[in-house]
Amino acid sequence: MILLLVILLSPFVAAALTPLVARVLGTRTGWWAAAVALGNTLALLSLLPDILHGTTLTYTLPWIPVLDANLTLMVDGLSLFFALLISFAGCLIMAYGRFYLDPREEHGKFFAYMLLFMGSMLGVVLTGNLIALFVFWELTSLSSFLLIGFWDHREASRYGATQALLVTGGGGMAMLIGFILLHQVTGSWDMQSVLSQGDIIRASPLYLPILGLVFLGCMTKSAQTPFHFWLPNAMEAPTPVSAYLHSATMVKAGLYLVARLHPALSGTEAWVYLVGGVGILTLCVGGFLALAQDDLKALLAYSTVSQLGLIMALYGLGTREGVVAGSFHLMNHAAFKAALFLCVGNVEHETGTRRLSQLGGLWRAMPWTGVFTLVSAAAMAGLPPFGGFVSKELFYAATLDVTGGAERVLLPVLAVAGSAFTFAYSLRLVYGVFFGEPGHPPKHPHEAPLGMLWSPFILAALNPFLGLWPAPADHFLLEPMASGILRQNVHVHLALWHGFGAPLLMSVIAIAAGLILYPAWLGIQRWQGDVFSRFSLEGTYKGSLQVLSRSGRDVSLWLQSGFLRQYLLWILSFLSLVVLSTFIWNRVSLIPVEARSVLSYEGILLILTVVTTIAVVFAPRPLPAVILLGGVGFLVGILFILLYAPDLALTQILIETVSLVLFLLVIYRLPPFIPEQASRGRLLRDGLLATVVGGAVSAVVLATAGQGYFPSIAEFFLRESVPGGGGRNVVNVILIDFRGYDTLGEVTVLAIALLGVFTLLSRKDTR
Amino acid sequence: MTTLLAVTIGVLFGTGAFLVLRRNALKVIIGLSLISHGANLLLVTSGGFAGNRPPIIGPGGGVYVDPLPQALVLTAIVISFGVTAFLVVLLYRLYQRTGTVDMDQIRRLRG
Repeated sequence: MILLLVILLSPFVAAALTPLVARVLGTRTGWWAAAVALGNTLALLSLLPDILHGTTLTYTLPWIPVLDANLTLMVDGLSLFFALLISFAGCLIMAYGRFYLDPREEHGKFFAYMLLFMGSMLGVVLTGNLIALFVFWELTSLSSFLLIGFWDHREASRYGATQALLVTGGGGMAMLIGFILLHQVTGSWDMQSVLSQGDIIRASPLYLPILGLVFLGCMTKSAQTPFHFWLPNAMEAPTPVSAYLHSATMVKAGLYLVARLHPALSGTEAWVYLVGGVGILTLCVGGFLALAQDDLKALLAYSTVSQLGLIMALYGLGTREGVVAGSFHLMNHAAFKAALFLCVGNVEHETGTRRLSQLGGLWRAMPWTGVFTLVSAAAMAGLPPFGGFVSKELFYAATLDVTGGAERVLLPVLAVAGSAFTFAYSLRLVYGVFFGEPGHPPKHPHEAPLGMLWSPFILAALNPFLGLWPAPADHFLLEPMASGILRQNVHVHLALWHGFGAPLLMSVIAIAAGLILYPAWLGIQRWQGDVFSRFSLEGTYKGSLQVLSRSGRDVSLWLQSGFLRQYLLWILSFLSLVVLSTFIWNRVSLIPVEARSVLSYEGILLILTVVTTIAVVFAPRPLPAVILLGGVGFLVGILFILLYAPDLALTQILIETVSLVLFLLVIYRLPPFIPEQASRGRLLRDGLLATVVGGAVSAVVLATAGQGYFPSIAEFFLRESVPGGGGRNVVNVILIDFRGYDTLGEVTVLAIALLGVFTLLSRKDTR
Repeated sequence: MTTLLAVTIGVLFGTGAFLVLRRNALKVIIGLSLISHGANLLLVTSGGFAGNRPPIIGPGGGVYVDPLPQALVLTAIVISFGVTAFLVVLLYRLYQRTGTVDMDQIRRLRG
């Protein structure tokens, strides 16, 4: 299906075009971005009939086929749900963003980033290849960095953006290692193939490392405890970004991956304890932290942490009920949390603040925003008749289904506790902003413009719809999604009213406990400041950043000292190490192939060369040193004759003469050698290194000369020289004919050297 | 023959390595020249000693030696000359401007 590729690529193409579009549309660029998202939503909807039939649509674009790294697109119920969520929420939020952003801001830049993010996120959920998944995963981290840091003149924005990038990027690295291990076990990067090998993966000794590493990526992306600290800092982003990335889509990428890999990794105790345990812990920690926040967006951020924990816990149970309840809550959460973020955006936009301590009694001034907030918060708190109530009941039922020891009691208790916090902070959000004593915001409040009410209206209206009439969502979205996760046909029947039973009792207890907790928020706030900041991983984050940058600087100052000598020392040592260790490792024979015995004059010549070379080192003044160097050059020229290379001999002797003249011209203007200042230890070290280097090179000659490890291509040149090149001197023919471009390069080098020399000499000295 | 050549090439490399680690820039340049001599010889010997006549096509018996390393080395000789010439002139100008050929002192003169 080529349509899949079009759906994936269109946001990227649109993002590239956005700066141009923005020149024409200006502050209306948001409509363009929203239109792209709407087009994608419709295109995705056209795939729905196929998915309902249970087909999995695929499309493969070969990228590096040899490495099995292809851009494989794979759409089943799970992918389609997420893709629809990303496109639909993107459409509403970008339409909202067009009014939220100040006309003076750079609309083109903002919506280009938003579209880039949308494309990356679609890539994460649509791809069926682990490598491509990783690439898109990191792209979402990168584009979220750009979006969180959109107001880059603010210190806090830059801090939050960097932190989000480093935390989620670091998790992504762990995930990549997990994927590589997964490939080791399954022998495939292809998602379908990996998913079908669940039994092999679970039986493998690498199972625990795979689960841990991949889940680390999910935890950081979905802000699970103890990595939840980045999400509140990311709230420095413009509110549409928070609504889009930090409630509806990006933070759900971790959940997506957990759901996606369900068939491959779930079904073990480790899965339940790790995924379920982290999830339920996050539910409680996030709820507890949310209750006492003063900043509305921080409250929503911690609430998101908490709700994501709830969904994670449900997926962690590993049961069919858990998967269904988690997926349904994911839908509800996208609806109510995105709506809440947009409502908070309205409040901030119209009052100039989002501090609860400055707000209150806005009900009269902002009735519509108030109603949307009330409905969404009620859904979040799990009140009937909204979708949140249904998924919360399913959640309770799923926790009661757990068999086992301690967790059989612990899980329902923690579920109720987490929900009590949820109820309490939802109450605080609605009451604190819209009721009670009027606050003293910086601006005189009035209702937001119509353009900023549509999107929260649609999102908020989904909540009663999902609660009162869940059948369409059930049939068209939830069933395919759960079937996609479990890879078998799942039938679900959702209803608002489940009758009197344990879940309902738990709901009542949670609401009652929430009502008791609510007045205690002030006390909790004081207590949190002392206790919780000490246990946060944020301190570790800052500390490790400092250590990293300091040690990075130290290491590079040590390695990159700026002294040529130091670099050469590294290079020469490494060269010797590589050569010698390879020889020793492979037990290379150093017994040479002696082609012929040494004639007496050859021996004398070679010994003379050695002596002259060594004498260069001991030359007391520049002049003898240069003359001895010339001597070595001429001797090498004569050696070339012995090696049947007359052309080389001629060239060498010619070049050596010119070099010598050049050296002599310069030498009279240079100072004499000063006595060696290096310490005895350094001389010894250099001498030792020189001996090792010389030994390594000798070993190379002994091992390679005349061994004929592979056939020479000399045959070709000797055969073709006369008929092909028209010359008898094969070396000359190679240079000017067969490898003429090499010679052209050589001439170019000489010309550049000449230009350099000319420039150096022609400049008048300024000193 | 091979053994003696191996020793010669090793000495060229070793001596060159020792010289490029000196502080005097002239010694560094001399060291580089020695290393390039060594490298050229190394390349030619890698062609082996199978032949017994130069690669110039003509009548008569015998086996030609491998012409390809020779072609490569010919290029190398010329290029290393270009590099040496440039370095020598650079050294000359450097000394004129800074009054020193000591690598460590030159390093401290930046800015």
